Amino acid sequence: MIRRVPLQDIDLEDHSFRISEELESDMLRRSLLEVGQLNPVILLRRQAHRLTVVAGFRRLTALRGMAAADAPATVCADGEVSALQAFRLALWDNLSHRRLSTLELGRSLHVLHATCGLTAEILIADYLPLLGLAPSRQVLAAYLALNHLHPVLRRLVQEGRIAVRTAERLAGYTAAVQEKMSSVLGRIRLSASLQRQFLDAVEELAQMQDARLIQELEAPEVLAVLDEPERSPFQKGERIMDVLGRRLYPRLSAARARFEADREEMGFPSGVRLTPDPFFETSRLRVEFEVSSAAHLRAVAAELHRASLETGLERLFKID
Amino acid sequence: MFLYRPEKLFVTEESWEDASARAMVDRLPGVPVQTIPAAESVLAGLAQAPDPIAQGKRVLVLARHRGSFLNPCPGAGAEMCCNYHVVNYAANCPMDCSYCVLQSFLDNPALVVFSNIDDLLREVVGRLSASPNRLFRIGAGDFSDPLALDHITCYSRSLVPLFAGRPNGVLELKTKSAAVSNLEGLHHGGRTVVSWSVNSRRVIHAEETGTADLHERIVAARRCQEWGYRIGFHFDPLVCYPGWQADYKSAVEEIFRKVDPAKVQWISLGSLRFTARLRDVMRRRFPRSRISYGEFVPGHHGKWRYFRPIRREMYASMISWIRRCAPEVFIYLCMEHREVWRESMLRVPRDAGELSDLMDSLASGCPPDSPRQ
Repeated sequence: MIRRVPLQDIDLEDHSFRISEELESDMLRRSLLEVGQLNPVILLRRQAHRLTVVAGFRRLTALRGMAAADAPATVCADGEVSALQAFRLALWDNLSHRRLSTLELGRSLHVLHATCGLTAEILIADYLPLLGLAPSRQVLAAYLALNHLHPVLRRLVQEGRIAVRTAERLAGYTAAVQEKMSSVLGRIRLSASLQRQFLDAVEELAQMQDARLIQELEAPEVLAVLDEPERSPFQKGERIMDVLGRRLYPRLSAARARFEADREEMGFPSGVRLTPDPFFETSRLRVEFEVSSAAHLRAVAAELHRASLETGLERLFKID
Repeated sequence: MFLYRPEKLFVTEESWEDASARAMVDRLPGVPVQTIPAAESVLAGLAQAPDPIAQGKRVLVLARHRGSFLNPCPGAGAEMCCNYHVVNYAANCPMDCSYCVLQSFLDNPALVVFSNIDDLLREVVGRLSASPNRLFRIGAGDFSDPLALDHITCYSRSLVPLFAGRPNGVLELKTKSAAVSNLEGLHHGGRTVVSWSVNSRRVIHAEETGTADLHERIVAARRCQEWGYRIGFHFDPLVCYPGWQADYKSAVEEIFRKVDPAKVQWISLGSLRFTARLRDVMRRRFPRSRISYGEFVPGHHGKWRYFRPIRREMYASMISWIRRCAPEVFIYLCMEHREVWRESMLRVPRDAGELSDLMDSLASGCPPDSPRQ
C-alpha cells in the first residue's frame, strides 16, 4: 500500500540496498519540480522508527535537496518480506528501464551477496546472466572487488578508463597503494592490455627490488613523466610504460638504445631495415629492403656497400 | 643431513609382487602402508591439499613403470647437446627446490618409486648390448634425485655393479644429497660418475629446501673420490643476485680445497631458466623467493633466461674461477647455443657431435683427442 512517509523517518545513510552509483541528478530534480514524484520509493522497516531505502535513493536525495517533507512510498515490514525479496524489487525496478553501469553491477552483486546472503554459486548461475555478465567465478570475483576500490579509482571505472579486470587487481591492494595508483592512473590513459602490463611491471619491479609498490610509483622518472605539462594522458601512458620497461630491463633497454644509435651512425640507406634478434639472444641481424628496378637495386647495393665499410659496423653485432 | 621418511606408503597391488617393493616397505618400519589399485589413486586426495606438490612429497608410492626407463635427455636435439641419456627409477623428489622443473612437469605430484627395477636393469642391458660400439652416458636424476631415496630403494647397489661390467656404458648419479653410504664398497669398475648439483651457499639455503648443504655435498664427493669414483659438479642453475660473484667464487674455491681436481670428470654450467608455467608455480609456492624476478627474456623452447650478456658474464666468471683451481678440468655449458659458448669459453666444439665425442672420450676414461679448453 502506498502512503506518504516523512523524510525524517527514512535513513538515507543506510546504503545496504543501494544500486545507483550517482545519487545527484539535475534532470531528476527538474522532473520532480515539474510533474512531481511519479513512482513511489520502496522502503523496508527494519527497526521500529527507521526505514531503510530499498529503491529510490536518487529520488529521495533530490527530494531532500528540495526540502520536501515527505514522499510517496511502499513500506515493507521486515517480517513480511526478506531482504532478498525487497532487493529484487529494487533490482527489477532498475533493470526494467535502464542499463546498470559497471559499478552498479558490482554494487548489485555485493548487496545480493553481503546483505541478502546469496552464495557464489547462486550468483553465478542466476544473477550474472540476469545482469548480462558471463556466468563464471572470475567474473563474479572481479565485480565484487569493485566495491573495495578507492573513490578515485571508482570514478575511473565509471568513466570507462579502467577495465574491470584491472579494477579487480587494484581492489586487492591496500588503501594506501590504491590511493597512489589512483594518482598515477588518473593522469594517464592506457588500453586494457597496457593496464595489465602496467600492473605486472610495477609488481615485478617491487618484487625485484624488495621494495613496496608505492616506492615504484614514486620513482623520480615516473613522477617526471606525470608532471610533463605538454603531453596528453595517452602520451604520458606510453612514456610511463617506457620508463617501467627500462627499469625492468635495464641492460636490454640499453642494448636496444645502443643498437639504434649505432644503426643511425652507420648511415644505412633509407628503406633498408635492420632488425636484430628481439632479445639479442643471437647476433643474427635481418636486413630487409625493397627495390623496384635494376637501377634502384644498384643504388641501394652501392649505399649498403658504403655503409658496410664503416669501421663501426661490428658494433651492430656486439651486445654488451 | 635430511634423510627422507614418508608419512605414508602406498603400494600398488601389482607392486607387492616385486621383491624390491617388499624390501622398501621393510626399510620403513612404522610407516603406515596402504594398498592401492594404481599410482593415480592418490591423486584425488592430494588435489584437496592446499599445496598438492608439497603434500605429494610426504607420501611415497611404490608402483610399476609402464613405459621406457631409458630416454634421451630433454636437451637432446639442441644446437649444442652432449647426447646424454637419462634413466628414471622414480618420479618426483623428496627435496623441494624452488626452481625445480618437476613442479610444472609431472602430472602426479606424489613421490613415486618404480618397483619393477628388474625391468629397468633388463632394458639398460638390452640397449647397451644392442649397440656395443656406441658409448652411452646415462644419467640418473632427471625426474628425481637418485641418492636422496637410496637409503630406501638401495637401487644404486644394483645399478653401479651393472655398469661396472659394461664397457660401453657410464652411469652418472647426479644428486644434491650427501647420502653416499650405499656406494661404499661397490664394484664400480670406474664406470660410475657421482656428481653433485652445487650452488652458492645463499641459493642452497634459500632455494633448495631439504637438500644437503654445500659442505655436506663436498664431503660426500671427497668420500666418493676416496672410494675410487670419478666425480663431477654441475653449477646449475646459476642465479644472478647482488653479490653472486663473491658467493660463487667462494663455492668454487671451497670445492677445490677438498676434492682432487685431477679426479673431477667434468663441470657443467647452466643459468636459471624456466617456462612461464614454472614461474607461476614458483611464485605461488615460494612467495619469498626472488629468483624468478630479474632481467629474463624469452628464449628457445619457451623458456625464460637471463639476458645473454648476463649469462655470458656469469659463465666467463665461473670459468675463470674454476680454471684457477682446476686448470685441466673439462667444463661445458648445459642447454646453451654456440654463440654463448664462444663468448664464454676459450674453445667451442664444432657441433653437437664433437661435444658428444668429447664427453664420450672423457666418460670412457680415454684422454680426449681435442685439447681441453
